Amino acid sequence: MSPLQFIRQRPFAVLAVVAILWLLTPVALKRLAQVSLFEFGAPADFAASYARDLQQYWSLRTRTKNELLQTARDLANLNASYELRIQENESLREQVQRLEEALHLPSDAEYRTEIARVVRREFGTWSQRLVIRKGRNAGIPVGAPVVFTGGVVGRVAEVYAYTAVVDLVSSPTLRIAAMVDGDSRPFSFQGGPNPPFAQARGAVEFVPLDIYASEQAPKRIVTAGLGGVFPAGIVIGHVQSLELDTGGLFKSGAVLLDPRLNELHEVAVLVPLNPEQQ
Amino acid sequence: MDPRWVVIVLANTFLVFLEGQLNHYLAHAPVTVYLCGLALPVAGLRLRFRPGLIAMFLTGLVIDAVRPVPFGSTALLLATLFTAWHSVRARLPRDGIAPPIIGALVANLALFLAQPLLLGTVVAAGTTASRVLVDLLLSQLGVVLLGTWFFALQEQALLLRGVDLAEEARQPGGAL
Repeated sequence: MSPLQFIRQRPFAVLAVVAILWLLTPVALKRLAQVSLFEFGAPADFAASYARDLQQYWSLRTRTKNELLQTARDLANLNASYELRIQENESLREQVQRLEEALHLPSDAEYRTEIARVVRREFGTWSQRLVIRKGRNAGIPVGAPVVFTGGVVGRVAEVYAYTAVVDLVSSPTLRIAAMVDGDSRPFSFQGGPNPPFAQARGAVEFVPLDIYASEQAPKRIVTAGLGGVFPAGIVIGHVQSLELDTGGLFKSGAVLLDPRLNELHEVAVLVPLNPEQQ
Repeated sequence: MDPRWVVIVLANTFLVFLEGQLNHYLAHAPVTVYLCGLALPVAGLRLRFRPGLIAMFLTGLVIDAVRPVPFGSTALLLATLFTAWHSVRARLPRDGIAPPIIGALVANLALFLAQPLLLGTVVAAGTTASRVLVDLLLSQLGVVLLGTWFFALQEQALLLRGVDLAEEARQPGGAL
């Protein structure tokens, strides 16, 4: 039987051969193929992203001068308040540094901020991810925390030449050590489950028994700074309800995440300055 | 190089891009559509076994490259679905628009429901039944709405490379 006849008469045998060959293919070769195919598709996503930016630019050009003047005035007010906060931050930073030196404490990990545009949002049924327009070219490492004005966005999961994939905080693949704002006891936060046509959600577990939260009096939760990925104090979301675990030792409950999470245009990647400290 | 599988893979790559863009805008809702089942019918109905298998396997790799599933899993799934379809296609009706649309719906359903198995139990548990149902319904609606256009796009792209699949299928040993 010639190979062509074999292929025609035994399609399932051919399929089995293909499957076995694929399973035996070295992981490095598979990884190379995956990266190559991702990079092959990246320019199309880039083009779509730049086209959206251009669209936004032209839509802004249609605004009247009065609207622009109003916006400029608002921005000037905002800038003035930020100037004040920068000064406050600087004096606080110096105070922390003095205390660290006096008490011989190890200093907190430091980060530089890398602002990146969102190329593609993907709020899938089972996982939520973002593709951003910066990658190895901007020195972004795998595992770097990603934030925005509303708090935590997620963590960098994959890095390519000019793009990076971010696992969102609403994705069940992401777990973070969290704490209630103003309390120092850590508990566990995990993204999901996310219902359709509703705000992104997460869940908390191992919450101490004396913490209470309800829809009328939600509790703001922030990162605990444990685990070496996220610095402490970044907002995650608001706990809406807490119930006793089956064991009765801790509480667990639902967290409502920032509604702007699924319409992000720009995010900030926190790149550690001293990765060894992490 | 056989232009059949090259053209089919490029058209399917375009489908993956379109799906990504559609999901980018649907993220506001947030819901998502899964349209990979559309990649199968033209190959399943019209292509011979070898170019069809190559086209489906490579299409699966393109899909896997942008998804958080084990690389190659969708490729093997698409290749299996193609082989199954190819082996029974002589006994199924193949004329008109209904067979490819129904085939795409079945393939899309199989690929969509396989996702939690590929992603693992922790990730699979991180969603709600209502979300799965809404996403599945929207995906199937997307397949029905885009199906006719996408199959025509693939056939026209093949015609540009001088391949008339309808004509080939009627020849001895062809798909029809």
